[in-house]
Amino acid sequence: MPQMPRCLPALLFVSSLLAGCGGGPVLVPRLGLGPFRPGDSGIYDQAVSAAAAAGHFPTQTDPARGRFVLLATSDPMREIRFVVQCYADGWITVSPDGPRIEAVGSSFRVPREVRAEYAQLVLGLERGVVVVDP
Amino acid sequence: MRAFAFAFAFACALAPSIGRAQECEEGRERIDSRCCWPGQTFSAEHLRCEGEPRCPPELAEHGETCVARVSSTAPVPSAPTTVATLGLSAAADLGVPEAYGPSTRDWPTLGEDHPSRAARVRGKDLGLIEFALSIFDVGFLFGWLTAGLDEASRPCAGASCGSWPLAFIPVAGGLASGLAQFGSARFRNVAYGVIIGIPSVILQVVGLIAAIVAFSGSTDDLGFRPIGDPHGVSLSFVLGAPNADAGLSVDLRF
Repeated sequence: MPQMPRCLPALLFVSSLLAGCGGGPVLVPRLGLGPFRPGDSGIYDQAVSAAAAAGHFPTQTDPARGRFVLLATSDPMREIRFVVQCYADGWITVSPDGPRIEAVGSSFRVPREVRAEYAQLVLGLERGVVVVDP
Repeated sequence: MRAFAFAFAFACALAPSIGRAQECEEGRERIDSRCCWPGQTFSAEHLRCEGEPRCPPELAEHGETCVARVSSTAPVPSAPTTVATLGLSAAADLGVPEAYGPSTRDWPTLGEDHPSRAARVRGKDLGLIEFALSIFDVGFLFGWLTAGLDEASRPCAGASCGSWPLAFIPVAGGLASGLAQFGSARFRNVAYGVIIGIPSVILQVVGLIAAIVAFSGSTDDLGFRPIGDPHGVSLSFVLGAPNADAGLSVDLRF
């Protein structure tokens, strides 16, 4: 039987480990909802209500700037937060924030366990913030 | 090279659980390397901060957390379930709207940089796929273990029988490397081949079957799509996959 290179087993071993390393951070886009009626400050109240109904209570609020902050409950380190920002032109965005969050363009690299909570929070906001026609 | 491989394995295992020691936000403090409110302890069993929190003055106690206090006269709901039933008036009960005022004058504008929206999508159960492939990997490692022990025992007149490359054959490799006959000694390492090789085969077969089941089925997952996507039927191939760093998805939209 022909001799194999000595490093081949180690290379194959490393490749199999690489295949098993699926628990790292994942890339998610910045999420949001809208557009609602521009200039409608009611979306802020509705967003706070919807977040509370989804089990997220704001730890920081800044209604003058249309912003409030929620804690991510899925983060085992309890360091990651979601920043909800309301815009004057009727949009609402939700951005993850914290030491293990990396901004990549308009997306974020987040711990895998936070991804589902991030999406579910935005779905909860969609259910709670209703479009009010002018 | 082996040392590097083992170091890499440990790094992979430990990386998700290692966090940088940074200050906690909103007046929380680091307890057992987690950010909890003062007065709380971190439960390793429930993976959450537990106990009655001592909230900073600007926040109000709410169950086992502290929430923003906007108006000192506004009540704070006593339990999350109460708030969940309040609907649109929940913000008022949290003390939110009266103090905020109606103005959006200082709110920023988003412009054309529209966010994506969350959506429920149907796709493959990647968790099950990873689990199935992990079982297969463990079986494959058992095959290498068989070959490694066979080599270490130098059974062919005190030398290697040269059967170790057979361990790289999927499913039956471990068994084959133990039972194959090479060299003039024509030795079968039945002990290693059967005791470790057969479990190796079983694990790989189970892993493969589970992977086939996982690939053939589908499940609901949370996904993302740009806001303002046109309705109608469209088929596209998208780089990336739900819950994965890399991959290729087929996106069918109605």
